[in-house]
Amino acid sequence: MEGLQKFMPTDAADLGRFTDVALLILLSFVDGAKHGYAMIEDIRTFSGTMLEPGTLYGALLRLEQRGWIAPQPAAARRRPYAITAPGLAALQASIATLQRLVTVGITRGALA
Amino acid sequence: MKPSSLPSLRRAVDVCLWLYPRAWRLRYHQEMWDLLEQYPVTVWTVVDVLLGAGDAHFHQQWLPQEVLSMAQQIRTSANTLLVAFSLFLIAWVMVPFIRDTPDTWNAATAHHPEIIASLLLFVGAGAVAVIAVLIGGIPLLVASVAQAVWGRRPDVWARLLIPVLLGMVLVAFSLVAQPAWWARFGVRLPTSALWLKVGFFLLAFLVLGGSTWALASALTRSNFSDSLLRFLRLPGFLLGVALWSAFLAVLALTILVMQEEPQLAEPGFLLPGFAAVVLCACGLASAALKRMFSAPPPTTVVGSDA
Repeated sequence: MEGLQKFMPTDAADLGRFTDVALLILLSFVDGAKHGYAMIEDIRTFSGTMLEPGTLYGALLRLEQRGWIAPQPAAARRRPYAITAPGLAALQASIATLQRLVTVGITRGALA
Repeated sequence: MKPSSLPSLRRAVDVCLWLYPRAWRLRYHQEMWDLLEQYPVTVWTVVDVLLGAGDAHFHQQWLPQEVLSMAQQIRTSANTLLVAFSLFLIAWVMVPFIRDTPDTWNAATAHHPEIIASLLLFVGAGAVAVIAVLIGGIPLLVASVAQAVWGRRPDVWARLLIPVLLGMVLVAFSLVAQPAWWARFGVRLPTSALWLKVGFFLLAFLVLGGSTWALASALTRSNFSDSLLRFLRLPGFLLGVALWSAFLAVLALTILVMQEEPQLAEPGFLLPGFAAVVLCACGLASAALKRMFSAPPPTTVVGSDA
């Protein structure tokens, strides 16, 4: 569980109820910067989760203050955000943990 | 996805955006407003935005610090101190009524002079708190009135007039509540008409609450110099010390009365209740002072303070 500990209890402990949302947002940024509505659409497409604006901006605030995402120059009135190097490292650690969990689940026949 | 066709929900969610802290709004309001223009707003969206506003207030450590300038932090803290003082004022006015029955009071304090000492300390600490508020409040009020006059600010004027009008209502009520006033019209009121007393206290609380809100709102809409705002730290600190001293005094008074002379405070929950009110005021004042003294120096300020 090293990866989970690295991502969850230390750096992300105070993300609270936004931890899962933060993971979805970081994942959404992997293929490029996005503004709020594009994020919601992308996350809905790949995860089936429809984020509400209050929840989205609660998580964006925390991710931005943590330095895991950074605002980009505004295009028209929309401001896109992009993932930073520390944000990508946190995402990779989290994915590695999830990957191990999936492996354990398959090995132990949880999907059978 | 198409935006909701219910304009009432859209209006509701727009209103909810204004419930976020100012620091948040300066940074994210426009973005979220643009997002909501494209978003299919539902009742749950309104609830979610409302919860988000609450979350932003409860977790201010996440707010972008660069937009919370020294001026904003101190002004917000000054408003919180004003609220704390108003809360304290309720207890400060009410607790001395413990002496309402002179015979009981004199008999009780003859055996326990420490009760008098703690009451005097409480009243004295309250007087220091009043002085601190006057030291800090008068310059702010003068600056605010000057801006309202010279800057033709009807929004500030209206708010500054509210305490005056509410005070006049209270004075008028206290006059009308006199049985002698009614006697002119041939109406005889019992001298201890309970509804008049209850009505007066309820009205007094409303006047206090309304005046506090109006003054805080007027101060929020006024601009003050950095030197004046920095000066507020001195009376703010004095107010904090006075409130905590008052709390210790009312706590001692409560314990003494409850243990030694419970007949002085009937019903029994009143003194502990007032002690709790003073403790709440102390908590608010401490939070405000912490923020006031942690405000960054003006050279590091980024962002608007308009």
